[in-house]
Amino acid sequence: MKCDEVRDLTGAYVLGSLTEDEIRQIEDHVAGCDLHAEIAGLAAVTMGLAAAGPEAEPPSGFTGLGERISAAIRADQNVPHREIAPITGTPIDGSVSPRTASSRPESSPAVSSRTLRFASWPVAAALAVALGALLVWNVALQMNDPGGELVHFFREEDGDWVRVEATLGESNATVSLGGFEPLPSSRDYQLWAVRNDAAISLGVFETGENGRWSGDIDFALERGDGIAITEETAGGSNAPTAEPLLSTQL
Amino acid sequence: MGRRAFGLAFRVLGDGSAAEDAVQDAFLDLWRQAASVDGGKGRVDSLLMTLVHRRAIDALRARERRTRISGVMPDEAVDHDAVELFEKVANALTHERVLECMESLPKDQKHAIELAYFGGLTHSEIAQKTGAPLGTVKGRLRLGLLRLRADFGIEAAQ
Ligand SMILES: [Zn+2]
Repeated sequence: MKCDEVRDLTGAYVLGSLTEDEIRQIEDHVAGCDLHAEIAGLAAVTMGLAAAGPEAEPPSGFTGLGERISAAIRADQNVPHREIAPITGTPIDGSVSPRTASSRPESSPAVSSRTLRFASWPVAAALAVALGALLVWNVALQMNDPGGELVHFFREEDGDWVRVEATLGESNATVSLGGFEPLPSSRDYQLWAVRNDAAISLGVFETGENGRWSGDIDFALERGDGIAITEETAGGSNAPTAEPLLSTQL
Repeated sequence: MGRRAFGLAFRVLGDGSAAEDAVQDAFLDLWRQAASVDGGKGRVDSLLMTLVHRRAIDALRARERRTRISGVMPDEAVDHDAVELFEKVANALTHERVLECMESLPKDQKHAIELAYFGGLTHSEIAQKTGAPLGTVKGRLRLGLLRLRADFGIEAAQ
């Protein structure tokens, strides 16, 4: 195809209205032609067209559809689904961990340097955050590798989210979370692991103005452990005194 | 983004339960090819919408016993340069704004673009359906998109 012929077809090309043969010819041509810039611009237009859909409600509702998708992803991964148990019972060690998880400013968890360790995973860890952020409903996504590395991402419909990167069975985990408004000085958020119905304090934390916090925790997480966040009086409590603001299960 | 994904599938399929299936399939596609997606929420968003569109058009064509959409690999289907351009204007492109721009197009251009993008018709099918010569259809698609490129603010960003 010549430049002129290709130019005539750029619109149909980005709209997916060409035959496979025409598509191949165009792609061969634009590999060495500045028509690529026009195609990029028109392709960007089609991305805008995607917003022309109506504001319709799915028959299952957005929550129902989100659950369907989460279940389909879990089934695809053979990740078993467990109901998240409410926090009850008494703490195992009964004490509040020191603030090992010191507050530090956080940009985006997707660019945390630890993510790089998982670069060889079949599924890039960074995508868990990106995927979760796409959803307007509750979503839990988890990736495991045989070596015991785990990335778990959970986001609630209201936007609160937590991301746990851990080596199972080793005191080696990083927790990042967002969507938690900064509290007055008399109050703290408290992070808990929940195992066999007992809540174990992992420490207290304060969020920055962006509602985020990230830190390392000194606790060996296992598969099936719950992670929960409550609001407590400053310094933390021996056991949760309120319903969790967020809870999820690894 | 979930809402937008569903809205797109619904617009193409006109049927809520088929649209749910298309959205679910697109998320699974995205999940399975996650390894080949390099970060960036904008890129993942665009890829998801591309997948939703593809799944919805596939379902529409299957329903109407037409041929499947050509098998462009999804991760190649998203043009990096296009994503970069789109990200610059995406926030301003609300549902209302996109409809407004569509309405301001000459009717035949708007109709041709809708038949192609939401109806999944090829240019020759559009020619058949509208009775316009093939060359005219190609021109309407291109001119309509060029005008939207300006109205969406993409031309200025380019
Ligand atoms: Zn050329």
